[in-house]
Amino acid sequence: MIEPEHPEELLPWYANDTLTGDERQRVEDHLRDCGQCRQELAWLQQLRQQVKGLQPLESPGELVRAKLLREVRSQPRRQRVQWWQAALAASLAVIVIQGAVIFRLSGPGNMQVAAAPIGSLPGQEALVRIRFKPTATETQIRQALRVINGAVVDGPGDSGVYYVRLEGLDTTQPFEIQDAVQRLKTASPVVLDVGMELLS
Amino acid sequence: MHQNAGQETDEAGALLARIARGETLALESFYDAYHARVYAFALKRLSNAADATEILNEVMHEVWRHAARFEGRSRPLTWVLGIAHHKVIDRLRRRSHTDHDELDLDHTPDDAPGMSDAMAGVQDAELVRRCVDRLPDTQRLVIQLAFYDDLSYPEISEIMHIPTGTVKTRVFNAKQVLKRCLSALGPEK
Repeated sequence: MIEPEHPEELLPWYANDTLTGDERQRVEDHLRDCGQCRQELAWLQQLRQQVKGLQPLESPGELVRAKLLREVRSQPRRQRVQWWQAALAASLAVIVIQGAVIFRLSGPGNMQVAAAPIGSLPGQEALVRIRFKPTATETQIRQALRVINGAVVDGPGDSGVYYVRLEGLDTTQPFEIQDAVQRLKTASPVVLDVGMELLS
Repeated sequence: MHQNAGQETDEAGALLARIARGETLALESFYDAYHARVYAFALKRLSNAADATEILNEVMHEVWRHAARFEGRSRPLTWVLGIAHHKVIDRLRRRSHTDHDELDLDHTPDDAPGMSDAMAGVQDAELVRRCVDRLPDTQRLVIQLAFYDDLSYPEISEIMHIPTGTVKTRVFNAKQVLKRCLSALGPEK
């Protein structure tokens, strides 16, 4: 056993060349005068070489790579929303909510209108987040999507959420999207709620 | 130290920034740079190629989803192995294995082995393999991180969420166990 004053606990980190500053200097100063620690260091360096050679590891690189990229590309594209985009979206949301309130006041009394903030910007996709009832059948979901000319781009997630792209809409016109959402809610009894994300 | 580590860190950090913006090409580059080390890390702990493959896939998905969380306070390798460590721990728990992190044999072996036998033994690659395989799980992991991945003890501390003193203790104890094993099984015996 090396004596306590020997910097034995630092030698492995000197051996792997990660020791810095005062600790590295302390070890180097000590090694100059200590054959025992030099021998210990030689053993550690040999161990390091052997450990590096121990890895018989053939990573399933290409297989996982292809799977990963396929899965990632099938997900909705993401982009961080800049502050000005968020501010504009908030303004659109206010307009839409006001519109929804007016619609509710003037429309059928028993209609369930989601006041989810929706809106879009030039060049963005109209992507809505739809949660169906757990009892919804595939046929009912397909019928609902036909109402809004929607295409599923992801889902269902853990909470049963589908991401649906609305085809053929002018995404700069929030009321077009609002109308689509209203049509969906009116026509489909299996829609629980609808929201929209800003994606580009 | 790590002549290329700074450059590697800068490049990987830039890749993570691009991944955070949703660039799949950056994810491909990041994957190419780190998949082998993540896979090796997982395989060493799980001893199961299928599980290690799943961990690799899960880790890269995590990178894709949460690249923006990388703040540059550590090396990207440390960050990504930290994710892998969490995934591996979850996997081990699902297997209902004992959490060896809580039961680590952080004690000093009673008898110090002879250096000459240990020095002879460490020259034999097959012998080293057998002795490393016999190490307790957490000791084998710190040896791997220290000598295969060449990580510093603060980096290992960050990945494993244990104090730096515990990292040093585990390496010290692993070293003692290895010396005893190499001496016991060595060519001179």
